[in-house]
Amino acid sequence: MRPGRLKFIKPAVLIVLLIVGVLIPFVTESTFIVHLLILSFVWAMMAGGYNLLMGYTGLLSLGHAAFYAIGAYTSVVLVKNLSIPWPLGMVCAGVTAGIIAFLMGFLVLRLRGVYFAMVTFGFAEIIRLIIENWESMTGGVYGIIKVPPMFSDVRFTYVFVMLLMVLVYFILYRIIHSHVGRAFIAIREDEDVAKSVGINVARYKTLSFVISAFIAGIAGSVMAHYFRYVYPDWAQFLKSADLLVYTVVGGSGSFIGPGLAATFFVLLPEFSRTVGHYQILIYGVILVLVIIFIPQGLEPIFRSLYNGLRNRMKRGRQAR
Amino acid sequence: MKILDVKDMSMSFGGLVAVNALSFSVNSGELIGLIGPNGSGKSTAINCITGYYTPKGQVLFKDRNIVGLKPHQISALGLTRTFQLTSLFARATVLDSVLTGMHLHTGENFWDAIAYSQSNNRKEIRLREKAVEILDFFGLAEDRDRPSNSISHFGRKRLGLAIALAARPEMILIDEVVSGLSGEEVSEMMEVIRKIRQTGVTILLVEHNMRVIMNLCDRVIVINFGSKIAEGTPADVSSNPQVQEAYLGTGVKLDA
Amino acid sequence: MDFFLQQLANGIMMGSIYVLIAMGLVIILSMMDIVNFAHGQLAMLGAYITILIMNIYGASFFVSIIVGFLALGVIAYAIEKGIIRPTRKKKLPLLIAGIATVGLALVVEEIATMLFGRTSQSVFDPFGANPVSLGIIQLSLIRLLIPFFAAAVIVLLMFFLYRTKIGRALRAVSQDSEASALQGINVDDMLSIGFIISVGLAGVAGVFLAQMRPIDPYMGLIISLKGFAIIIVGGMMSLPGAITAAYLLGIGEVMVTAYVGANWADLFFFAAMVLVLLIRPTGIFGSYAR
Repeated sequence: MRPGRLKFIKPAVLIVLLIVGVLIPFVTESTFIVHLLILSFVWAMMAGGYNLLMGYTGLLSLGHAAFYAIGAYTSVVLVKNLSIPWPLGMVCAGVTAGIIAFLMGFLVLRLRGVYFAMVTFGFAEIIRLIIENWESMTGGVYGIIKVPPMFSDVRFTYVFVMLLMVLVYFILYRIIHSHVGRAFIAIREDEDVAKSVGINVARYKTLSFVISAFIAGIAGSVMAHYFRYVYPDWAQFLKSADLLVYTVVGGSGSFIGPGLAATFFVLLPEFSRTVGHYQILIYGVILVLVIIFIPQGLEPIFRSLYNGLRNRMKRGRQAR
Repeated sequence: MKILDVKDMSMSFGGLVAVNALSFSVNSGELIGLIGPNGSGKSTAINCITGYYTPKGQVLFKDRNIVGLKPHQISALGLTRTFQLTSLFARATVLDSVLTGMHLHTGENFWDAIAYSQSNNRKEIRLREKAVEILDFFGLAEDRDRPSNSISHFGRKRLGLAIALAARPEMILIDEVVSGLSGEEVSEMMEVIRKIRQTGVTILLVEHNMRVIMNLCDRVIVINFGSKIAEGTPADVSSNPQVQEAYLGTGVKLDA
Repeated sequence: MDFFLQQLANGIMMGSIYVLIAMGLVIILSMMDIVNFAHGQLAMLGAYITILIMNIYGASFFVSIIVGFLALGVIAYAIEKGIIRPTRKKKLPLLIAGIATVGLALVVEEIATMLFGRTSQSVFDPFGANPVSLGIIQLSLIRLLIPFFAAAVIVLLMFFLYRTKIGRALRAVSQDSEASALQGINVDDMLSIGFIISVGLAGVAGVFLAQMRPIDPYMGLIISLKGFAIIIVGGMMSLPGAITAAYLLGIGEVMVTAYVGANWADLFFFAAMVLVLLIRPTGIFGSYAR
């Protein structure tokens, strides 16, 4: 099997999906669907980055919403106050989030995983408080409105976000299937053995953290320019918990699981009023049940079902 | 030449002295045994030499003091080890585990990893071919796509060796690799170790199993209570009264 | 000077409440090596139970302490049996148990919101709200009593841990669960007891909090955060560390609020945590062993 070739889906199918995806907003009348899909793309992207850190490297970050908010505010403040073009703002958003992750990494990544979980848990709330209080820069509790949009036509926004998500997933795919990805997995499975083969565990943990923060930062800026506002609650713990739910349910350490779960969970409350109302409670219950009974998530289960089906079909064809 | 020179190495935890002024050396190409009763400090000594603990004293690897270096840095210098108790990279496949072991020699940096190019593809293919060769060497080629935690105990012991060897070390510290193996498997493992020796790698074997030690080792070092109590050929050591006394009552026969 | 002493007294009182939270976290961490991310929410439950029985049933403050501890104890037992225990057997226990407690935190907070509403509530007749004069400082009786209560709890806990058979078994398990099992200690039971004590203490902290200020279902998060900051500063496995850090940070927080501004109070905790991580990551009383 040649490396680099996508294992789970033939390239031709992927290209068809891409084309269909790009065409959707130009074919449908419903702005609601376009809106939902944009949200799914952004959260799928965030889930992919978060999965790199939690699923592949085994580091439990409970404050990822902080990077999302940092990215959002960075981009908004730079674009509004310095009139830089929004793509540059987006890049700055990611870079800022990445730098902050790097500095945080210094503090905790050489210590045990439990420190990381606790510090990241506090981090998002601290960021939220800082944002709330730094009124001169962030507008305080009221947030910032009248954020310049990316495109005047939401359909172009859709295409951009979709392509961005595809790009991010492509990069994630490349990383995971390289020596870097193998190092991440080694760290998750057994740090001591990883060290014994020359893996600088602290450095790779930091790398994983920075990349996932970078992606979250970019996602944050995309959302800020799409919604055209941003406010401190974007850093609240609940957002981090959402990410955790998507990743755990989708399958931490599987490639597409978290992204698909993110899409499902973003769409679900829109189609069910009850779910929307009790969303947090349901998420909490799901999280507890899934992590206890199917900690590997749903993707491995679906994959073995799919494989089982394929094998049965193959055998059926051979028998004839 | 002396590839490993341990000088007056000591390590304590709280008030407990685990390694006490241990000194020994290993010459390039040798197959040395390190034995001692349970609790004598063998594993602690390995952890100290390979950087998982920071001991007092000196440890010279290829004439360079490695005390204070981190494990990954010591591995990069050419000294690797296996682990007695580990499930290795449990959920990774056997092949991926060995590929991980080759981490120091992929010739790629981070940006290469992302960039999709013909030459990077070819590098990765060659890496995989090399990994399969290593698996072949250890008789694991058939299991290459199975998760590491699904192969037999014997397979996992060989996989641990394969991973350590994938890092292309000049010297390897092997920690109780035959524990839990049947008599026949022990013989097979001894063959594997001989094969490793033939590739030119220097080996320090920490072992409990006397048959292995007697049959494989050029020299044996015996430690008890953290310091060396005897050194010599297997025959010398097994007839040494101090050594016999150290093992008295442990049920281990020295001339097994 | 009066002002300073007044704030000092406040700080000691806050520290007393934090001590209960922090000791609970240390117990779970040292026994099970996991962090309970729902700790603050459970304290919040203790606060609401107090409001319930004091406002509706007219129970006394002292009764509410006992009920708070017992109720949270029962809840803790259920949580430990149902959620924590299954996660212990898996690989990466910290990750899995941690995630489970995150889910638990969400559930508890949402249920509290549904049961008690989103707006803050108070005890109608909080205990000892009347100020008592102590020379130059004025303190409400409750603020005077809480440190004594906390001290009593600490003493009782230490007595329990060091002088009773079960307590010694608990400590043995926290040092080496395998060796303890070999000595015939029922590790599972000890872990349950440890968890119950830990959450019970959190409940009592909630009971105290309810006497002092209005409570709302969302207070759990910040309680957990402060608890984590305290144990990182004090040393995560160390009870003396938790006690010291709780008072240090409690007093510090009050001083920061008084002299700098209320907005900075929460940030103070985080700053202290960052400082410790930079200088002495294992904490004041922590060690690298473990």
